Amino acid sequence: MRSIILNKYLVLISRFIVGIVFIIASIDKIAVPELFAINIEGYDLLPISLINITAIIVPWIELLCGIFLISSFYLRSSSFIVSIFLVSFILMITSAILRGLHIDCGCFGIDSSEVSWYRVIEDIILLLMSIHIYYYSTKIEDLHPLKSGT
Amino acid sequence: MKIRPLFKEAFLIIFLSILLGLVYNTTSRKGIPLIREEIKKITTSDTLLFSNPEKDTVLPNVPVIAPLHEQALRNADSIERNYKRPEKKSINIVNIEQVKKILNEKRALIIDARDVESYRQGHINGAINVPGLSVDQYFEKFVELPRDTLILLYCNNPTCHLSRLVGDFLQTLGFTRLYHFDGGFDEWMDKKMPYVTEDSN
Repeated sequence: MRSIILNKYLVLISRFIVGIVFIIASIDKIAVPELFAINIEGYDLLPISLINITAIIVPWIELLCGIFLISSFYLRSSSFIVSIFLVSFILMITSAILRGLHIDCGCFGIDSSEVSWYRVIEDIILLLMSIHIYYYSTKIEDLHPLKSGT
Repeated sequence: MKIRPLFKEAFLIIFLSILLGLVYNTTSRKGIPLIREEIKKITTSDTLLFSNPEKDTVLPNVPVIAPLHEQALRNADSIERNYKRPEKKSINIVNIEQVKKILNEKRALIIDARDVESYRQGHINGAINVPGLSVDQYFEKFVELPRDTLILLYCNNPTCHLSRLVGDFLQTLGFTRLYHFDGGFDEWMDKKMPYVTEDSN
């Protein structure tokens, strides 16, 4: 198990997949914040007054974390944030499905698709990868404090 | 495991994102206000909608030959450049019965604000396709229309935003009679109403 967690090629793959997904997901949202705001509004979970500020900031966090994951810079904290994001995405999409909402998932900005279990599974896979990256980075930090990129 | 540096770094990333987000939002043309206002949906009465029928005989799918709004055309560039979301945060909605009546009497320009592919697969007869996400490309078509043209917008369902994007754009251009079919194409299909596909149109 330890060897799997510390396998650097496996973590490299995870880093690139999660990183690229987050960067792609952020671009459209950054370009057209109003659209992302409307997507968030559709979930009916946040108070109206907080929606725009979320729509302005969240895509930038996604973008930075994506870049950091790929460049292996601030690896532990970016995978930590990404994991928290993915957990909340999973909860939000699940709640939308359970409430029977037919809304745009807002996962990839302009490329609209309705909320579905498929999206949840996708996010769970990404979450596993991201948790893997997080554990890898903490282990590496324990072994070689200088290599963690902190 | 050292916890402090983790949170320190995480806060740094978030702080940087807040900074970038706010700066970008203030400089971007598509920036949005920091605090969102709720959109009020105002139902439309039949009397308001059908009060002066002689004015609204716009045949669907037929380009409207109307007096050119020279002022608007002359200012076309500056209008486009200064395009901002309108302050007014309310939309007028119509129900399916009113839509049917409008269709029967062929009195409005009907706009399908969904994407090209959805439009191709099926749309209300007579509707033209103006995808909400690329509405600014239709500037020149709209600018020639009389500003009191009755315009009916729809997309998928009440939470769908695409028709609102088109509506906002048209409102900025000065159109005054914009109505949203709130149920959208989902309700249209639920009620088994006739529709046309691209091929049969």
